[in-house]
Amino acid sequence: MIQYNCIVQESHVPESTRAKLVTGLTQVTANVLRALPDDIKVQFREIPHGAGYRGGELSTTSVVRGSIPPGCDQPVREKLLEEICDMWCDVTGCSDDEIVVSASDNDYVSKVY
Amino acid sequence: MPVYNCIAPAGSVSMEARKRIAKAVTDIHCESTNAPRSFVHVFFHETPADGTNASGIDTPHFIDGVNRAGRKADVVLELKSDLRKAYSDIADVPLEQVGASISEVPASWVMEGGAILPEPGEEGEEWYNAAAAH
Repeated sequence: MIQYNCIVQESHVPESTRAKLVTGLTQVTANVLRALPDDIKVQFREIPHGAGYRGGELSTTSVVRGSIPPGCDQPVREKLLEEICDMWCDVTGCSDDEIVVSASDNDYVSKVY
Repeated sequence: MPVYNCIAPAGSVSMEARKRIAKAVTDIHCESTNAPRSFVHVFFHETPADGTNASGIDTPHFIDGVNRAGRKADVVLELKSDLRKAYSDIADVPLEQVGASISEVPASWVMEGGAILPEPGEEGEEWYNAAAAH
C-alpha cells in the first residue's frame, strides 16, 4: 500500500483540482515505483484560511506526506519527489516554494521525542 | 520542513493567538537549529469543542512536529519544552494541557523549494544563501 496524506489550504487548492491531483499522484507513483494504481491511496486534509504559516507569516503551502514501500533507492526516491513536485505545481499553479513533499518508507520507525 | 501541526479544540485559539504562536514556533525552532525561517511551517487544526477527538492525543492542545532526523536528543527535547511553554503562554492555557511530540524523518526523503533537503549540519553556505532567497 502506498499512501499520500496531503494538507492543503482552503481556496488555494480548491475541491475542483483535487481529482486531478489524485490522478497525478497515482500516475507519477505508478510510473516511478512501478506500483499498481489500485494500491495507491490519497487523502486530503483541508485547513481554513488563516491556519497555515510559513516563516511566521500566513502561507499558501501544501504538504504531501507519502508512505512508500521500503527499499527504494535514493535516485528513484528523488525522481518520485521531483515528479510529484512538478505535477503539483502544474495542476495548482503554485511555485515549488509552496509545496513540501516527502516519501518515507512505510516500515520506518521514527524516533519520537 | 520542519512542519508543526498545532491541534486545539475548536474556537479555543484566536486568530491573533495563532499568529503569535506561529511566530514563536518559528523563532524557537530557528534559534535552536539555525534553520532558515522560510522552512518552518505551522498549521492549526481544530478538534470538536467538546474535547472529544479521534486522534488519540491525551491533552486538549497538542503540537505535533516533524523535523529532519539527526539532531542531538537534548536539543530536540529542549526545543519541545520551549514550544510547549510558548504555546501555553500565548494561548493562555495551563502547560499541562499542552502536549507535544517531535518525530523525525531523514532529510534525503524530503523535497522543499524544489530540492532535496540537506542533513542537519551539512547545509553549507550555498544552501543557506539559496534558502534566504525563497
